[in-house]
Amino acid sequence: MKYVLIAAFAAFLSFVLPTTAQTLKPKHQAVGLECQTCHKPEQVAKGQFEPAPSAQCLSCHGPAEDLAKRTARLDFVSEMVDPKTGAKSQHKAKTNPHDSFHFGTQLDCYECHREHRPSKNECATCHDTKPWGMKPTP
Amino acid sequence: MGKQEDRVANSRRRFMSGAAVMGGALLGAGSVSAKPVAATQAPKWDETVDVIVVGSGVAGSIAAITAAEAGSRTVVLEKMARLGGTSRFSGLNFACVGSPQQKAKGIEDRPEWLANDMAKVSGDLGDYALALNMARTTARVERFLSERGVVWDGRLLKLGGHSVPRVLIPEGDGAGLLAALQKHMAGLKGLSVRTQVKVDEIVLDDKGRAVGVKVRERYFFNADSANDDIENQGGVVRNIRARQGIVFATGGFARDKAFRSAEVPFLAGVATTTNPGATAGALKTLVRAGGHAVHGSLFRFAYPLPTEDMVWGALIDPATGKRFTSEGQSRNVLGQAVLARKLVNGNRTPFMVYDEAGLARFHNLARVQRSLNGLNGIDGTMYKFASIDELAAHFNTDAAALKKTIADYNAAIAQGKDAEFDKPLERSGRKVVPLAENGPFYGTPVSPRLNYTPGGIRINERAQALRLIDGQPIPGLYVAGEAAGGLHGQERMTACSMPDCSSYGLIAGENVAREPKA
Repeated sequence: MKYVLIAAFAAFLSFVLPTTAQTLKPKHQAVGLECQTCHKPEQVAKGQFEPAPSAQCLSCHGPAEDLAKRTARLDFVSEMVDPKTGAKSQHKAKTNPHDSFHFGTQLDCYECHREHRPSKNECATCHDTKPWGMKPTP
Repeated sequence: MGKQEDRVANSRRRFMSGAAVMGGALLGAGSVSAKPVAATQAPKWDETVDVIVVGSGVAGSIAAITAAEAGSRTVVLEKMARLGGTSRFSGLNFACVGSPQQKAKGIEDRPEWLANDMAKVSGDLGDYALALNMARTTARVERFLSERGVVWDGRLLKLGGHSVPRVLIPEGDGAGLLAALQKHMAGLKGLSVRTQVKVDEIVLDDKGRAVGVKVRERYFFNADSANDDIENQGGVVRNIRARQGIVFATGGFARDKAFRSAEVPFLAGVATTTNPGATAGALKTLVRAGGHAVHGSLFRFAYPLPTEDMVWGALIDPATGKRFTSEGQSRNVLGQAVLARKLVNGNRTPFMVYDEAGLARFHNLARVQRSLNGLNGIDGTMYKFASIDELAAHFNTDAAALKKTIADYNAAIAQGKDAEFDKPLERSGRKVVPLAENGPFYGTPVSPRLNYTPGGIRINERAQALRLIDGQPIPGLYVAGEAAGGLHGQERMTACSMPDCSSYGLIAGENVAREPKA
């Protein structure tokens, strides 16, 4: 039973993070990040990793409010036409994932950004993000 | 003891799972020789609270607030890293009988009228008593929410199927309503909200009472997994005891491809914009505890644009450039026709063709504007084209075939009869007219979204989970919101999930807090 559980846990880990040496994104490589920079020492010691906590990402990229301000350009501004009067107005949709309509600043970084495998645009799970001009998630 | 060892050790402990009790009861009833197999040894509890609420959408949040305010030490356990479930993506349009907004406008309304409106679209499959009980609770819910920081945007709407104006819209939609509740919850003593906790099993005692849950903490839901409930073995096992009871407010299962297509094959490829965690795992946990799952084969489709406004244009199969069904059908019938077509046309998404006159007939032009501006979700964007050739190229369909389809369609409409599909040529006093000779034309995909699953665990008016084998309540176990089934039937009326979730969330919270503290 123990081995079944360990095998299952290993299978789970393999999608979180294969236990072999991992590649880093160039910018993270350039500043010399190591496993334990983001992951807890006991996880590194055991070779059992969880996604880095958002607080860890925000220790360099945050605080969350500042990150939201820096990426405010990701909000989508479009021209809306009043169907009855024809009057035009600017409509601002809160599409900045770092301060979004649905989640504010609360989403965990790893929901979209991944270090060791391709990142994911979580907005695109439900939205057509092409009209917003969103680029691939870094 | 390290976490890994702890996990393994806990998994070894014998405890009485729902399945064991079910098996025992069945054997006891049907066989003289077999002894009940249920274990009598309770698990080692890692923690004891009064009330456990599973799920953090609108039903779970209201249940938790109600229980905590009544003096019960309450924990909310949320599987996802984020709070709010599908409620966070919903408008949470709230059909409310006897609201201050109705009174201010002198609008008479009665709970029976709302229940009757709902019964008309339920295909005679809805539970009238549950619906009426819900309707009777809505005014109380409105007060409850307003007193806890929820703000309504001032509108009082008469939406499709409702006999009077009664629908309230929360400021900031579901996200705004939940933000207000979460702010309130943060200030409540005796309430703890935890994310990334997956509830695997309900622990029943030897009398069949729900007394706790087996969970995995530090659970990382994997949205990329085809079946997270089965494949994801991660997390640290703990057993949490509930002295009073457990409320499951775990939402629907629209994201569970394996489960939904086992119930209804053509739902395999349906779109959904629900919570990525909306799988059938919690439903199965409730079934293992003996719950009666009902209406699993029912479905409700949502569309970026109002279904009733499809009648103003032509619905085209991109594989043929031809129409294939009437545009004037109900949301579910139309959605079924579209999904059935996708099973035979190479999974290509049909699209609507409108002209300027058609768009002007929409009853809700704000939604057209949202679609034209790319704000209506996956497969929800509407595009403007100078000609049919441009439109055909965009949707990758044969332009000549599409032009012939439109010519035939226009001729039929001009003669006042859609001989091919018999679509109604008048709606809300407005006539369907032929499409214009010249552009601009407008095209938009038609991709039904499974955004609500009416099926779930059968409950009574006290929000108690009912057992399959004898129809009796499972003591200590409550189910509220989309996780419960049977109330709505075939076609849940618009703006009636929020009153369901909130009313039964409130009722579950009140009743669980009244249970004696064992």
